[in-house]
Amino acid sequence: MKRSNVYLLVVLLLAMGQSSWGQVKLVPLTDEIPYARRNTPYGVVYYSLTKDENAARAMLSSIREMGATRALTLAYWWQAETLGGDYWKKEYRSENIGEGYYKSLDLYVRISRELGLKPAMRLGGFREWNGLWHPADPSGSVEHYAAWVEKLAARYRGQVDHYIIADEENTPFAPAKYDGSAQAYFQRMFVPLAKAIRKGDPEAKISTCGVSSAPATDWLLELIKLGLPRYGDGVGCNLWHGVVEDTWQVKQFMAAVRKAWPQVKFYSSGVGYVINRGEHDRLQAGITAQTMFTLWDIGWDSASYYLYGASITADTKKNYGLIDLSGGEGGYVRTDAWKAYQTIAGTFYDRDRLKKCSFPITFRAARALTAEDGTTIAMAPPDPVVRAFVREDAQLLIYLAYKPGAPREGTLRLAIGSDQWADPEQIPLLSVRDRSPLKHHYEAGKLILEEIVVGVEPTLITVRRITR
Amino acid sequence: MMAAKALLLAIVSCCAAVASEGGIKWSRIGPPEQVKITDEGGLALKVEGQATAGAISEPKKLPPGADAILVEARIGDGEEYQVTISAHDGDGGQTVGYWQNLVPLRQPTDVAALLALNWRMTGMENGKPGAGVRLFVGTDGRATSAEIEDIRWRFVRSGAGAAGAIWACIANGEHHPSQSFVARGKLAAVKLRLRHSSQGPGPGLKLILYPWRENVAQTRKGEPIGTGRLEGAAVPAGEEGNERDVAVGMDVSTESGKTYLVEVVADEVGGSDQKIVLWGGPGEYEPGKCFDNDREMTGWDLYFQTYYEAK
Repeated sequence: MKRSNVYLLVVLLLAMGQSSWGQVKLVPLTDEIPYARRNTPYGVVYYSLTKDENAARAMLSSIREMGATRALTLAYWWQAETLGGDYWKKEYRSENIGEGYYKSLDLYVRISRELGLKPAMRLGGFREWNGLWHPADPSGSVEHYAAWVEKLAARYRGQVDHYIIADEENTPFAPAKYDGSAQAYFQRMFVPLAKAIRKGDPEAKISTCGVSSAPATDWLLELIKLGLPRYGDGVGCNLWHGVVEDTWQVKQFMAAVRKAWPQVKFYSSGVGYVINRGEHDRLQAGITAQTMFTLWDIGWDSASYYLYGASITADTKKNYGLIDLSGGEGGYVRTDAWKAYQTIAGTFYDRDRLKKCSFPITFRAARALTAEDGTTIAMAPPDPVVRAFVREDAQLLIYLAYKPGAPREGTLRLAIGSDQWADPEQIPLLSVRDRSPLKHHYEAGKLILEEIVVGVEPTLITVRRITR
Repeated sequence: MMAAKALLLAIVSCCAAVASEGGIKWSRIGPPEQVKITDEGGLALKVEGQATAGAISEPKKLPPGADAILVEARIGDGEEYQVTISAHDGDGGQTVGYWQNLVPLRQPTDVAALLALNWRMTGMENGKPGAGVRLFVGTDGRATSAEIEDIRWRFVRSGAGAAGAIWACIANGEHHPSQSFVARGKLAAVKLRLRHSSQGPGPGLKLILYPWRENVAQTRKGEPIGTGRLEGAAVPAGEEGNERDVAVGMDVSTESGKTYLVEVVADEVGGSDQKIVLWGGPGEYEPGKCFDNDREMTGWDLYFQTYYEAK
C-alpha cells in the first residue's frame, strides 16, 4: 500500500474514533403515537358545516393537521325539519335546510371519524326562538323536540362522541318563564333530552350545557344532587382564557365536582375566546397555547377552542379565529395561534402516560447586573409557570411561561437535578417539528440550561435520557 | 499618597450611593447618562435599546410575616412595561418581587405597586425574617424616558381577601360597590381587579373606608376613617381581557379583628359609558359580603386583597 494511502487510512480511522469519543448514547424515543390513538382534550368549535364534500374534508383536515382530536358543531332542529313553517326563508338558503342540512351533518360526522377526529354536537335550546324549541311548533313541548333528538342520535348511533344539551342555561330567560335554576334546567331540558339521546344512541356520552360565568360550581353541584349522574356523563363549562389563567379556580371546581361525582367528565362548548388581531398576533398565540396546555395539564376531558374559523361573533363582535378559511382549500391562512395550538397538541398528549420528574427542576434569574457600589442583582420575574414531565423514561418535556396578565418576560437559568439527561433542545412554539439546541453544561450532578428566555409564549424544552 | 488614595476612595463610595436628605440611598445600575438620580431621590431615565438600567436601594430588613412590598411613587413619561420595580434578596441578589406598569403612565401619576414576595429563585420557601431586601427601580429591557419621583417603600403582609374573578360589577355615579372584611392590623393597601368600561381616558376612583355598623346602609352613613385614590390614568383601558390587578395605598389605622367596609366610588365624568368594571367571584370570603350601594350582592365577593403594615 502506498505510504500516502496508509496516512490517509490512519487519519480516517482517527477521525471516526474521535467522532465517537464524548458522544453520549441516548435512549431512543418511541414512535409517535398516531393522532387517531392519542388521548387529548384538544378540540375546536366548528361552525363551517357544508354540503360540499371536498370543502368539508379540507376544513376538517386542517383541524386534524393542527393536532386537535375533537370537533364540536351545533345541531339545530329547526334547520333539520321545518314542520311546514317558512321562518327559515329569513335566515337560511333552501339547500341548507332539511336534507341539505342533514347532508352537511353527515359529512361532518363521517369525515371527522375518517380523519381520526371525535365529532361532538351541541343541541340548540329555546332561546333562539323566544321560548320555543321550534319556531313552527307553538306548543313549546320539549317532548316534540326530544322526538327529533332521538332521531338525530339514532342517525349517528355509535359515531358521535358526546352531545351537549343546550348552552349557558344557568341564566334566566323570561320569554320561556325560565328562572335559570338547576332544577328548571334539569327537569325542563336535561332529563327529557338526555333520555332521548340514550334511546337513539345508548353509547353516546351526554354533557350538561356549558355554563355561563364558568365554573358556576354551585349550579353544577346542584344538578349532581338532583340526579345528573343517572342521565349524563359530565358537566360543561364555557371557559374564557382569563378564568383558565386563574387556574386555581378551575382546579378547585374540578375537585369539588369530582368529590360529588367521581366518574364525572369535563366538557365545554367553548374555551379560550382569545381575540385575534391578525395573522401574526403573537399575543393570541401565547395565550391560546397557555390555555390549551393548562386544560390538558389539569385533566379536562374535552376542550373546544372557540372559535376555529375567523369570523366576527354576533354577540361580542370579536374575532377569536385560529384560521381564515374564506380563501377555500389551498387558500387557508393559518395564524400564529393555530401554529401554537399545533405545537402544544403535538407535544403534550396522553396525559396518563407521562410521569412526574423524580428529580427537582429549579430556576434562577440568569441576567446579572452590577451597581456602582458593587452590589450584584439578578433580574427576572420570580413566578413563571414551570411544568415538567417524563415520557416513557426517554424524554423530559419542560414547559415554562409567564402568565399574560402580569409582567411578561425573563431570562432564566434552569437546573435539572439529574445528570442522566442530555441533548436539550427548544421546540419553537410556532413550529412543532423544528428543534434548536440549547446552551448547557453539567455541574455537581445537574444539567444546567443557561439563558432560557421565557415569556407569554410558552418555552418548550425537550431533553433526552442517556442510556444507562 | 496613601492619604490621597483613602480620600479618593471615600469620595467614590459617597458618589456610588447617592441619597436625598432622609430619602432612599440609591446605587446606580447603568451609566449616568441613562440614569439620573435627582436631588429629591427620584430617578430620571434616558435608556435606549433593550437595556436594564436604574438604581438599587440599600437593604431593608424583612419583618416577620411580611409577604409583600408596597411601593408608592409618581411615575410619568412611561409607556406600558417601561418601568420596573423589583425586590432582590440581600444575599444572592435574586429577584423576589417584580412589578411593571401594565398601563401607560404618560403624565405624572401617583401609583401604588404591590410586589408579592416569591422566594423560589433563592432556593427558599420563604424569606428569613431579618434578611436584607433591596429595591430596584428602573427599566428592564425597555427603552424609556420615564421619570419616577417621590418613591416610598415598606413591607406589608396580606390579610383578608377573595380571589374569585368570574363576574363583573360596575362602579359609576349611580353604583358604589363595596366589600366588608375583617382587618388584620393597620391597613396599608387594597388590591382590586378592574379596568375601564371603554377605551380612552376614564374616571379614577376613591376608596372610602368605614367602620362597620349594624348594616351596610348605616355603615355608609357613618364617618369614614380613611381614603385611598387611584387616578384615571392608572386604570387599565376598557378592552376585553384587559382587566388587571391594581393596588390602592390606604394607610389607615384599622384594628385587627374589627370589621370594616371599603367602598369604591368612581369619579363622576361625563357620559354613561364612563365606568369602572370591577371583578368578583363566588362568595368564599365568609367574614365579609359584597354590596352594590345598600343592596347585598348575595353569594358574591369582590376580587380583593387587603395588606397591612408589617414591622
